[in-house]
Amino acid sequence: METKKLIILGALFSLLILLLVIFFITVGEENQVSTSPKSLSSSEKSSEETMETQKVVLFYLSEDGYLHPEEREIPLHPSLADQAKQTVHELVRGSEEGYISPFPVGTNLRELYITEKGVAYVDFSITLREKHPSGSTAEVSTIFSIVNSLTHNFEQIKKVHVLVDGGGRQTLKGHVDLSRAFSSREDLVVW
Amino acid sequence: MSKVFGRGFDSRRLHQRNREMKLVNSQKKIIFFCLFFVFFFVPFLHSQEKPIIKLYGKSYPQFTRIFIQSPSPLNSNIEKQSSLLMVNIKADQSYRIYKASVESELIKSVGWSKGAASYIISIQTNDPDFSCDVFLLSDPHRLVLDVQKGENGDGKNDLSPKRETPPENRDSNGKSSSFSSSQPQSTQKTIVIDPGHGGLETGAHGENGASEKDVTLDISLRLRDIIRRNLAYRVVLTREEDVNIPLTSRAAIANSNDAFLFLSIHANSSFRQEARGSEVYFLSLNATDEEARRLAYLENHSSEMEGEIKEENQDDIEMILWDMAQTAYLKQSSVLAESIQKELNALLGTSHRGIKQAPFKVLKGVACPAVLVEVAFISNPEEEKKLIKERFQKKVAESIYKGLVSYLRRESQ
Ligand SMILES: [Zn+2]
Repeated sequence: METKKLIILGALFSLLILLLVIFFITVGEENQVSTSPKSLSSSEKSSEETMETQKVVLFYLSEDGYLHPEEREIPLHPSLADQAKQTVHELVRGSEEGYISPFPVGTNLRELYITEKGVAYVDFSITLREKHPSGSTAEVSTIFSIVNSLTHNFEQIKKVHVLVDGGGRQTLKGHVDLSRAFSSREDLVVW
Repeated sequence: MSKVFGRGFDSRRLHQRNREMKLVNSQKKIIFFCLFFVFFFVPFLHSQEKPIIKLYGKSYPQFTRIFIQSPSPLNSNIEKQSSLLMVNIKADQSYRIYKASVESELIKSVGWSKGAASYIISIQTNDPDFSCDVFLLSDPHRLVLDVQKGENGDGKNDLSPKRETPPENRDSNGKSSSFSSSQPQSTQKTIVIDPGHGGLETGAHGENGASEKDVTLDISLRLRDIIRRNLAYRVVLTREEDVNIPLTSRAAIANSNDAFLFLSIHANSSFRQEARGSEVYFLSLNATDEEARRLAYLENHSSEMEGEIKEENQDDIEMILWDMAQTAYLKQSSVLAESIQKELNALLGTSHRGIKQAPFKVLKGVACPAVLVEVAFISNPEEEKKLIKERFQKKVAESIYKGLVSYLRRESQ
């Protein structure tokens, strides 16, 4: 028994060393590749003063019961996660074109991160749940306003997992299951 | 995809961006490495330490004794629902559950499911007319349930366990921790009605103070009475009073009663003031890779589900089954939804409204055709007024009943 344990430990230890070696080699290569500067075409250059922006489409509720698109310009951020964050920030601020915002007043985004497999984890303040009116239709509107807004603008985001106050919840407020990530629902949208 | 980069970058920005990307890349590597480490080592430690809850039973001439054994003291509450006994065990960690044969003349089946921070063990008896005595033993920690036919004990509905030794030989002398109930026995098919919400979980609210939980219970009770009067089906409600039942337990009640149909009754709410009318839902699934894989697994292994799977894998398999039970019934569920929607459209004058799909928690684990009926919008003041009126509640119950009947007719053809 003792020798068996030693063998397992030995094997794991050598695996660890091997992984460490691979890890540092690949990081080194990455550094070399990314230091070569890319050429810029003149049209891409601009003056420092104007803020760079990006157009996104947000989905809000309309009186017909469907989600409708609304275009918005957001500041351009270098990372995907920051772009996605800015998009959700804009979304929960509410519509500028008279659509209905399916978010309780005071809802804030706490954190957003995106996994390599393209699942966005979107963590909202407790307000989203506590001030939510509950009801199947209301919960479906809230969830797919978020999900469709993210999956539509960022093709790297395939699915969206909604968290509240840092944790996974069974449901948003008694109806929609939050224990899994959602794909977008095009059938809820009218263009 | 209408993503437009408003202006370009100057080279300084690009360098900064490259630096940031590099940083992100090496962060990714570190995360990847940590994950690798975790996946390699943690299961090693974990699999040896995951504690076990054992379920086993012993049959005596007058009663069946069921043991629930755990490595730590058991914090539980027990509830009786018709012929079903539900033991809710609080658990901050996950357990392996080993189940030996518990079945007896009185005990039809014993199942279990995992809740948020609990395990629910459901004991299905062959007869709703049974009583149960509960004891706690230590060393090892055991919850002992003595289940017997007929009324016994002092009739108190107190299911808190007693710290005493269960007697080996029992007579009909009452014990303080027993409860009893008697309902007519039946071998009919069962329809489970689930009045949405309850207790502190109130559901949606109307402007004038109506609560979803009250409306759902009223309509469910009326629907139960209509079915009982007209059809040869047994009806079980997931709750008959103002209490909160966890969503997973509602599915467990349906499954343990071997339900034939499951109807979850709700009152709707929308951010739109104008929203009105009924909406009947069945479960939607994310056709994700993971779920597709689970389904394929189930389809390929369903025949060997019963016996051949190793005992240590049994709990995982059962988890998958519980989690995905509804997927096998989506077609029938949509037909049932359509039948009910049609009747409610006629009642509320929303002639063209179709059925809907949504990822509702309460439907996921139900192993029979299941729908969620949003009767009307409690968020619409006009419909709120109607929802609390007896006349409207009766009409709604009748419409759901009619939809049910037309579904049954279609299915029998
Ligand atoms: Zn509800």
